[in-house]
Amino acid sequence: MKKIFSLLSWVILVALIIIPPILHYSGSLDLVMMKNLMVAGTVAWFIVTPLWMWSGGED
Amino acid sequence: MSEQIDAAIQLEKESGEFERSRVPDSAQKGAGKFWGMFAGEHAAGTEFMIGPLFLAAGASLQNLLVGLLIGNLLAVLTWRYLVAPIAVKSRYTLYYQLERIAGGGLVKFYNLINGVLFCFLAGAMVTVSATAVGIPFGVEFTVPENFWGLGSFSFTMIVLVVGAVIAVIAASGYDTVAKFANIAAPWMVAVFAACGLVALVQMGANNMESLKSGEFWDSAVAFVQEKNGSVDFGLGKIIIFSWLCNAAMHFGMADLSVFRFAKKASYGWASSIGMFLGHYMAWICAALLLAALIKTSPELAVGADGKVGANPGLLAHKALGWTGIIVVVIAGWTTANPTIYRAGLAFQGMIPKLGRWGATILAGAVATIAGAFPNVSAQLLGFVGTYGTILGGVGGIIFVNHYLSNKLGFTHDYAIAHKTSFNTAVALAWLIPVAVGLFMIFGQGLFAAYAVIPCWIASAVLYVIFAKSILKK
Repeated sequence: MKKIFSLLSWVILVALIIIPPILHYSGSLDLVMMKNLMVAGTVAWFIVTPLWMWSGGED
Repeated sequence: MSEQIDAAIQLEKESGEFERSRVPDSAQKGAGKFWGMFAGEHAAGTEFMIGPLFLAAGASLQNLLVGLLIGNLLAVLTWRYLVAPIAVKSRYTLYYQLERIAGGGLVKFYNLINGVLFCFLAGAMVTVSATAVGIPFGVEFTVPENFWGLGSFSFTMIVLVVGAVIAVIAASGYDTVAKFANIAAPWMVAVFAACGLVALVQMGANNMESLKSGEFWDSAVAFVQEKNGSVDFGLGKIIIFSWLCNAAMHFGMADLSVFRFAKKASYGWASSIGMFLGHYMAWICAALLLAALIKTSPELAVGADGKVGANPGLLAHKALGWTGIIVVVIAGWTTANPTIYRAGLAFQGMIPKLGRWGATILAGAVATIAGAFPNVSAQLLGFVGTYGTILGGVGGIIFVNHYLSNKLGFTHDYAIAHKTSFNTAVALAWLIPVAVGLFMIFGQGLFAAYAVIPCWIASAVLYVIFAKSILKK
């Protein structure tokens, strides 16, 4: 189960925290949408990540 | 620096303390632990302050890109070749290694000095978090001209509340916050990068032509020169600062406490990920935030004193909205947490009756009061250099004790060999250069980081001289 949450965390990080600003930089995503995606990604990261990282999870 | 404190504390808690013994082979950690640790712990609250301060000090983009590259490389080499070899050989904490040389009495004094400095550093981080907390409430962060001036009443109240919360949590739930910091680390690194990208877009610098011309940065520096007067932060200063901002950790040997868990000295290379992900990338991205604010809302970049300064909460909010506010709050908080905790340990060592909880609250109170003075964070560039000057010299003493005591004919680990709590030679060798260094910094206006290496060398040389001349054989 931890592996699934771990994978989900990294998907959230890439999809909602890393890619949106890159798309914004390239002109493909407006600022408001980028900000909204990043907030959603932030909330999701802090909900999902403790599920596998809290007790040590992956090193 | 506080990131390294957190690293040391976490390693101890995972592996058993080994505070007064060599770390056994069974408790040593693999390389991945150190790479992961350094990766996550150098993109932190201090970066949000230091990055913009480079621009506010007038640094050119070219000097920043080259200078940070050289300086951070030198820092990595210092960790790798100065700290790690001694750490894997002796396997002691800095505190116990210093006690073996200097005696318990002198170590208490070192701890007190360290604790007070930690409190000021933590105070700066409380301010960083408070700048973000104030944004939704419309509370401005202003830096008064008088160093001991307070910010606005509202901002001061926010600092007191934020500081109190951080202090209570550090006293009651250090482990919880440390775990939370680990969770936040990858996210924080990504958000720092996002700050840089968005800032470039805001300045219209999201194409090769603009990036190559560097006009987006030059116009920001020109604005700074107009508001702050003629200021310059040249290549030499950038190199020295980026090399020595963590001087207490590498030259000062505080990271013996981290690398004593390493299987071999080559693990010192792990510091490179922290330096280049954190100090290089994060500093530049944070600096770009200020450049973007100058471009888009120059009136917001100027404080009540008419000068351009660093306001981390405002900078991040302008770029990333609520994510920016959240990242600055968390960055300041997770950096202040281990710093206050370790300061609490130092105070507890001096006043055992306080207990861990009381000592940590005391440290948190001192940090909060320091944080109420905006100039503490605004002067962070000078503060970290002063910090390294004060504490770096003990590393020179540890260095000569480790490599030269037998060769030059003075007692290795003198205090433990002669059962003394106060090694006069250490006290003199450490404090004389510090006194001269502080005079040069505060009396002669020397850029603080410039004093670190001369003090380190002087401490090392003086210890050899005093050890041979005044210590028992």
